[in-house]
Amino acid sequence: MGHLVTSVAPLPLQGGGLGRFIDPFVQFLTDITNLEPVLLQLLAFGLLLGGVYALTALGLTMIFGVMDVINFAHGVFLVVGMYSVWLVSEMAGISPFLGIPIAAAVLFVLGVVVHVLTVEPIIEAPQQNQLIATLGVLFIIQSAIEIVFTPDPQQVELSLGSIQVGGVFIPLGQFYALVIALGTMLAVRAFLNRTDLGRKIRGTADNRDGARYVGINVRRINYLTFGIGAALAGVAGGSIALFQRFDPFTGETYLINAFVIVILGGLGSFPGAFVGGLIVGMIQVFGGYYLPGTTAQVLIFLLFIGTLLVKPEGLFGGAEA
Amino acid sequence: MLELSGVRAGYDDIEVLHGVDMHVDEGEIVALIGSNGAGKTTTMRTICGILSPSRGEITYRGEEIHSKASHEIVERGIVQVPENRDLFTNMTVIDNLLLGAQTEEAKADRKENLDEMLELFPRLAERKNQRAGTMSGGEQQMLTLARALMGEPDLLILDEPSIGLAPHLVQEVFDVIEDIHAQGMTVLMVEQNVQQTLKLADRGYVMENGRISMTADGDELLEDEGVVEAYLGV
Repeated sequence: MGHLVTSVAPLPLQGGGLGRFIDPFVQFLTDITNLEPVLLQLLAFGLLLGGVYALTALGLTMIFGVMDVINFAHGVFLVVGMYSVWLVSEMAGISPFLGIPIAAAVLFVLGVVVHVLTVEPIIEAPQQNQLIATLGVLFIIQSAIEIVFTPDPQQVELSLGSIQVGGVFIPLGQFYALVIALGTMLAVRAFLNRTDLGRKIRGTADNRDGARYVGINVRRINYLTFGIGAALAGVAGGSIALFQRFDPFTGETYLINAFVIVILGGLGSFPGAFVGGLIVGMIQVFGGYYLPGTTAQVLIFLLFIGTLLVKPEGLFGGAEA
Repeated sequence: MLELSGVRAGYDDIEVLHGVDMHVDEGEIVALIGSNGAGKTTTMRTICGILSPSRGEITYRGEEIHSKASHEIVERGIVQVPENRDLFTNMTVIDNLLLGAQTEEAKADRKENLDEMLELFPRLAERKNQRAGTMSGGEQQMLTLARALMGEPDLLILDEPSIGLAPHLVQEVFDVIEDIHAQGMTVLMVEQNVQQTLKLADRGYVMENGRISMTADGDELLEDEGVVEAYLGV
């Protein structure tokens, strides 16, 4: 059994004072560095994957939290984000990293158009109507991508390589995707908490009638939210394209996991999406390593069903955006 | 200022208002009284654009507003304190108050109005960073009223502002209504506390089965045998 770092020297602070805060931290560092390298590696992969999963769920949970709409088109929005980054880098020679904000802008416009054409006319109808309409959008856009770009997998030409930190192998494509995911989540959180528009979005998520009574243009908030939710899918899809080959159907797996994350974290909850993303990422990575076949995916579905049975409101339940 | 002519409205296929005619003049306090299910709240919701009338006309300062969206009606100066409060329960008191200021004028005066509301309702000042959903019913009612006032309305519509409140809080709510009216605000109110409301009101309407059955000055209604028997429990 090889150790990455054989030991961490205990700090001189013991007993009272700062020691009671530092001792557990030192203990944690000691424990983690005494883990088997494979465990550390899996933890790193779980974190990388979980962060990206959280980002894929962010737009979905936002649209649900504010509008009460389950957006099945979210999966194909991810794919449009992937193809947007690929197109701008292949055709226009623009860096894939710069392609990500372009993908977000493309998806924002697409999201608003999809909302105005398909969701808005039936916004007051029962929820299953919107679900079916957005499922239809998924099939239409997916087929259009397949016709235009063929079903063959595509890949962004980017050789980022990897780095080693303390013996842990970190693929840079996934690392950058995680950084983008964290940055996006913090930016969205700041936008929602510190801007007037963000406050209106939170207010509309909290109480739609209350929003109408104070004079918020709820229709405008709806299409902006759908646009922002789609733009977040664009960022997520663009980030995934940095490290993964993709085809018109790649979004389906991400969509299913995003639904699990949203249910697990609590519908409409941003912290829930983050924690849910990490949990699903860890299950997939650890399950993929230790369990046979696709058992990890089965575990994820069991978690999904278990959450609905035991804590249907999710870990961070409620419509807090 | 506000005029309803032959307004019919309801929910889905069920018509609740069967042709309501009423008006509110600038600077008045007008009361709308009636038994449960008479259509008072539906009338308020229709004026504010939450419900669309199927027939009839609503005008405000000479402009037709019955086909306008709720935010366009708030822009024109009509703000409602709804019966079930409809607060943003997961948000703080301050957030609720700030969300009350949606018109350009109200946004420009937001800071001063916020200070004024916290002074007018000291309980809200004490709980300004608390989530609205965790406050008592009385505090929530104060917050709903303060949120509406943050919108700087010309016409304030109050739907059961004292419902479910302890007697001393009811008096506090009526004192605030009297104060804001003294400052020139026009008020249209629905209230279960008929006696106190009619004492305060310049005029009143009695609503029965989705129609206005009677209208008179507040004092006259208080002396009307039918009103006394039906709504004052005498």
